[in-house]
Amino acid sequence: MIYTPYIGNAVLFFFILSLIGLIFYFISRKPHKKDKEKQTIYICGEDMKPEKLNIPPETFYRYLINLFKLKKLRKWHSGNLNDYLLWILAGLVAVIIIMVMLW
Amino acid sequence: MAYGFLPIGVLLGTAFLIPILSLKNDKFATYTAFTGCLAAMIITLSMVPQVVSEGRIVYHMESWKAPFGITVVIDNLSIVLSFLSILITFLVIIFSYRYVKERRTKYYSLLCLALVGALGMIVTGDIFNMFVYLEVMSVASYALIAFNKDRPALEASIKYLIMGSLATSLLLLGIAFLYGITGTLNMADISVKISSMTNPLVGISFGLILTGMLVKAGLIPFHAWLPDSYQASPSPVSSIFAGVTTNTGIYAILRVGFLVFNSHHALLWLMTFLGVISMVAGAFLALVQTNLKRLLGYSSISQMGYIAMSVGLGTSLGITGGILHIINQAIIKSLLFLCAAFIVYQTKTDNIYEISGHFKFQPVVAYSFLIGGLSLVGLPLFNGFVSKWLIYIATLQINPVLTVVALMVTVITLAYILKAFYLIFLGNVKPVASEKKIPITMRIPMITLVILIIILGIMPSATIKLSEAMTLSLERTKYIAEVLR
Repeated sequence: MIYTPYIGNAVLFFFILSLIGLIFYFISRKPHKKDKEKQTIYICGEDMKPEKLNIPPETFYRYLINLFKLKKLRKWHSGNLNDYLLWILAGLVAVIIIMVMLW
Repeated sequence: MAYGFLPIGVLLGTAFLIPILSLKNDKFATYTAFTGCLAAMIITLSMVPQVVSEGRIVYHMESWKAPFGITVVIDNLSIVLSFLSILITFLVIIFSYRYVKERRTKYYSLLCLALVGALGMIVTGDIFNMFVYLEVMSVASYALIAFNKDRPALEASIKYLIMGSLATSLLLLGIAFLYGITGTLNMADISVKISSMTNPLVGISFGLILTGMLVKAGLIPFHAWLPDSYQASPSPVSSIFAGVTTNTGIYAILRVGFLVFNSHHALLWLMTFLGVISMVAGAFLALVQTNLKRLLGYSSISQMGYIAMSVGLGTSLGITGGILHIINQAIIKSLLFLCAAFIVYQTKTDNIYEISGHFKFQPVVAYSFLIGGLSLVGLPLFNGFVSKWLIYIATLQINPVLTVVALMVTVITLAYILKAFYLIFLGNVKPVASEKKIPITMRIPMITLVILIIILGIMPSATIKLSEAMTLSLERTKYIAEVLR
C-alpha cells in the first residue's frame, strides 16, 4: 500500500488515542472499594430491585471529581474573608505588573 | 433634561416614590415598581428608531457640551443592554409579587435603585459618573443580599460589602490618576489625550480600574463574593445579579478597555488568560456543588469566562460572540435562577440532594429548567448555541487549543446541568416536594424567558446581525468624533 499523509495522520491519531486510553487504564487500576453486588454477573431472569440497577447520581461524577482533585479546589474556597481579600490583592499586583510590563 | 437620561430618572423617581405610595398598603410597592419599570422600558424602546437610523445619540446634560458636561451615550450596544436589564428586572418584579410577602417597600425600592445604577453605568460617557452609578448599584446590591436578615445573608452581604468596597476604591484611585494625568473625566476626551502619552501611570491607572471592574464581573481570582451572594440573597434577586449586575461589570470593561484604552494588547492578553481560568475552574466548581444557587453562581463565573476569553481574542468575530453571549447568558441565567427561586419557594430548600421527583408536580418548571440548561450548554435551536458557535469559530481562527478547552468546558457544563436536573426533577419523590400550584405571576416570567431563548435560537442571522451592530459601537474613532463633536 502506498503511504499517504492521511494514513500517517490516522496512525498518529490512533497512537495518541491509544496512549490516552492506556494512561486512563493505569489510573483506573488504582485499588478501590468494590461493590460486590454490582460486580456479580447478571445471567438474566433474576429479580433485581430497581435501586440496585440504578446508577446513583450522587456518585456518577465521583471519578471526574477525584481525577481532577476538585475537592482541593473546593477547600481553597474556605469562606474566610481574609483569604478572599488576599486573592484580590494578589490579582491586583499581577494586573499592575502585566500593565506596566506590556504598556 | 437629556431624553437619554429619562429611563434612569423615571426609575430613580420610582425608587423614592415607592416608600411614599405604599405607606398604607405595601402591595402598592409592587404596583409602583411595575409601573415605573414598564415606563422605563417604553421610553427605552422609543429611542430605538433614532439609534437604528443614526447609530449613536449623544445627549449633553444641561447643554454643557463634552468634555465639560456629563454626556449620555445611547448606541446599539447600550440600548440593547439597557432594554435587557429593564426587561429582566421587570420580569423579576412580576415574579416577586407572590414570592416577597414582607418588607415589600424596601425590596422594590432597592431593586429599582440597583437597576438605576446598572442603567447609568451602561449609558454614561463620563468615567467618574460610571463610578458613581457603580456605587449606587453596589450599595443597593449589598442591601438586597442582606434582605433575608439571616446569618448566611448577613455574612454574604458583609463579605461583598468589603470586597466590593475594595474594588470601588481601586476604581476611584485609577480614575483619580487618570484625571491627574489628563485633566478630564469624559471617556472620549481621556482616550484622545492618553493616545499620545508614554507615561507608565496610564498603565497603572488602567490596571487599578480594570481590577475594580474584574471584581464586579466575577472573574477568577476576583470571584469569591459571587457564589455566597447568589446563594444568600432572595432567589429572584439572584436572577438580577446574574442577568444584570455581573453583566454590567463585563460591559464596563468593554467600554473602558476598548474606547478609552484602545483595546490595548495587555488588556486582550489578560482577558483571554482570566477568561480561560474562569471558564474551566468555574465549571469544575459548579460540578461539585450541592446547593442549586451556588451551582448556578459558579456556572455564571464559567460563562463570564467564555465572554472574557472571546472578547480577549480581539477579533471582530470574537467580540461579536462575546457580546452576544452577554445577552444570551443574561436571559438563560435569569431563567435558571427563576426556576431555582420557584423550587426554593415550594420546597424551602436549595440543596439539590434534598429535592427529588419534582417533575411530577411541576412540569412547567422542569421544562423551563431543561430548556435553560440545554441552552447554556449550547445545544442547537436555543440561543446559547449561536453565541457559543461564534466563540468556537473565533477561537479556532486564533488558537485551536482554546477551542478544545471551550468544548471541554461545554461537556462539563452538560454534566452539572444534567446532574442538577436529574437530582431535582427525576428520581423518586421525596417528601419535601409538594403539589403547591405554580402562581401565574411566577409562570409568566419563566415562559417569557423560554420564548426568548427559543426565538433567539431559531433566528440566528437576526441575532448575529444585532450583535455585529453592537460590536460596531465599540469603534473608538467614531465614538470620539461623535461625542466630542
